[in-house]
Amino acid sequence: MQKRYHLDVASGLDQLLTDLPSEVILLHSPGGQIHFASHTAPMVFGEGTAVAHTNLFDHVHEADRVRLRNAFTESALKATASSPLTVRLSLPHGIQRWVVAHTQAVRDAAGHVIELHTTLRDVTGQVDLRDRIVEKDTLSHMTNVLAKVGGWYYDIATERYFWSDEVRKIHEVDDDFIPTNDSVSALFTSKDMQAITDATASVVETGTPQVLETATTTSKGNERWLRIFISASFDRGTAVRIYGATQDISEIREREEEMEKLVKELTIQRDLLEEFGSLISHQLRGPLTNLATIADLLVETTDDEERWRLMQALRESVKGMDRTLEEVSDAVHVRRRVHTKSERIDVARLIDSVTKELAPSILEIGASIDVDTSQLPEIVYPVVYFESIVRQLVTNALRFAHADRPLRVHLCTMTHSGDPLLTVRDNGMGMDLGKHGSRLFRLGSTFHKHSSGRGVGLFMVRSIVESLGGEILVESEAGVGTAFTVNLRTHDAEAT
Amino acid sequence: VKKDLIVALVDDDRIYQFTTERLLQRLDVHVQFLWFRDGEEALGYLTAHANDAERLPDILIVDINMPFLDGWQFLDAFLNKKSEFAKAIDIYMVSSSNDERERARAKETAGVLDYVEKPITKEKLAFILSQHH
Repeated sequence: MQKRYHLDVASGLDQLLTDLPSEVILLHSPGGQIHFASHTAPMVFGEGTAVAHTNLFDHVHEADRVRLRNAFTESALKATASSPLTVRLSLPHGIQRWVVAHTQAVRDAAGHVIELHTTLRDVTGQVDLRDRIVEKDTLSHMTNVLAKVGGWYYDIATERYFWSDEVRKIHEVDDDFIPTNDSVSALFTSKDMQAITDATASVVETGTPQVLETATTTSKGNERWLRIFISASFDRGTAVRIYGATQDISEIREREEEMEKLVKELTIQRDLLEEFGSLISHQLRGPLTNLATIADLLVETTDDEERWRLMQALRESVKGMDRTLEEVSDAVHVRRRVHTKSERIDVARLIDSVTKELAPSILEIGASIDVDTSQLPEIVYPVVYFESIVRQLVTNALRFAHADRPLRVHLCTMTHSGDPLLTVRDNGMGMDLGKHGSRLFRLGSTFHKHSSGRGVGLFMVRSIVESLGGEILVESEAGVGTAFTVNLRTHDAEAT
Repeated sequence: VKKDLIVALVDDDRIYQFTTERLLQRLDVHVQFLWFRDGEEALGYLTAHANDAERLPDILIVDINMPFLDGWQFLDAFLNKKSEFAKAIDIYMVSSSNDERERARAKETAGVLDYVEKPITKEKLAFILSQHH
């Protein structure tokens, strides 16, 4: 009868605790010849194995014979008990069993050793269990290493922590680090620590395990993201121990963030494609269909004056198309040149050069432009793009001046949450964003009656800003004015 | 004597207005032609003459892609006021777009007779006129 303890460690242990040990007593010569075997021999050697009057070494695994023989010799010579020895028995049908051998000398009245007394205790179950535990431990360790997960517990009564090696590794603590309430708190911001404490309190109160994600700074000062699983064990309704697992999810987080960024970029590209589709069907297809109709009319017309009028219309259509195409190809150009190098820009000087360039229009409508760069005199950005953004936004303001008052344009730079911002505010016509907000930055959208816009300018600004990683926002009120806020954040800046 | 039909175009494209007017003239039917550069202008006119059947158009041809109020926004505002007008007005939505979504939207919208893709030809105009009873 062979016992196996391979089910699981816990139930194996239970079984071991209730099992009576299988033990056999042998009397034998130092050479292994067995004179006597107790009646329990079949429990160790198996039913039907002849034991008495055989040689013990014939039952012992080849590799363990020498060690056992040495123990016997030692006992016989020194007349003492040998230290326990674990050896394997090789039994019929390929069965192998682990036993612990205790040998001592048996003496006659004169004190001479006459034979040896050996008890063999079957420890196969224990050895199996030990192997199993080692195997399990190795496996879980390997899994933990790969998943960057570590286990820990906190004993509520003693306020003691236990951290597994993986947890220590995740927090990059030294060997002499002892987790205590204070030393653990130091690894988190007070806000994050509060969240962990709250989650723990909820576990203690409700018994429902909690999972939370939090940032941490390791002992070596590295930023990491953790997922912490918290549960508790209870004794008669009172939580006694908090158990948990901590996983380093920095890599996962990083990948998620990258994915998000990619999705955002793709979404922009997809929107752009859709805008191009709509631009082609409206801004370009419109004039084209006009040309077709004019051509039809021309064919049928005999009247010279009418012919001349149609020719004029034809010319105007072609010119309009040409202008639209040119502006669109400019915008596409901007989209393609996304990797222009950033440089340090003296904002006031650059704005000044743009307004000088626009001076004729500024003078013509009597606009005043003031600039405040005191909060952020320098911006790191591709200079061509920055210039383009300023020119577009100022031109836009000039185009939509309010008829009743002189136009004032205010340009201002500042930092907000570490991002450089440019705002361009005017007291012009403004617009109802409820009506136009969603279309404002789209290609080919124009909102003002009789405007000369082709709807490419703001689209171009948005293209530049977004392709570099920033964004543009607008506030406006019909009859009051408009303010554009451009976040000039760049991907480059994030990387450093 | 049968009164002239009044056809109104709501479209910001001046050339398109010019060519459509010419096409109407060549149809050999008596029509009056109105042109609004955008939805607001059209709404202003319609509201001002809401009770005057003589001056309200019989047919409105609305471009979807317009600055300021676009065609759909105009349509919403128009349908809200529809009951105030002294006569029924046929609405056609037009666009140079061959976008199926716009066509579907026009077909789904109650009060829109049809979606017409630009260019508007003499034949299409004749058909639109023939649909009016």
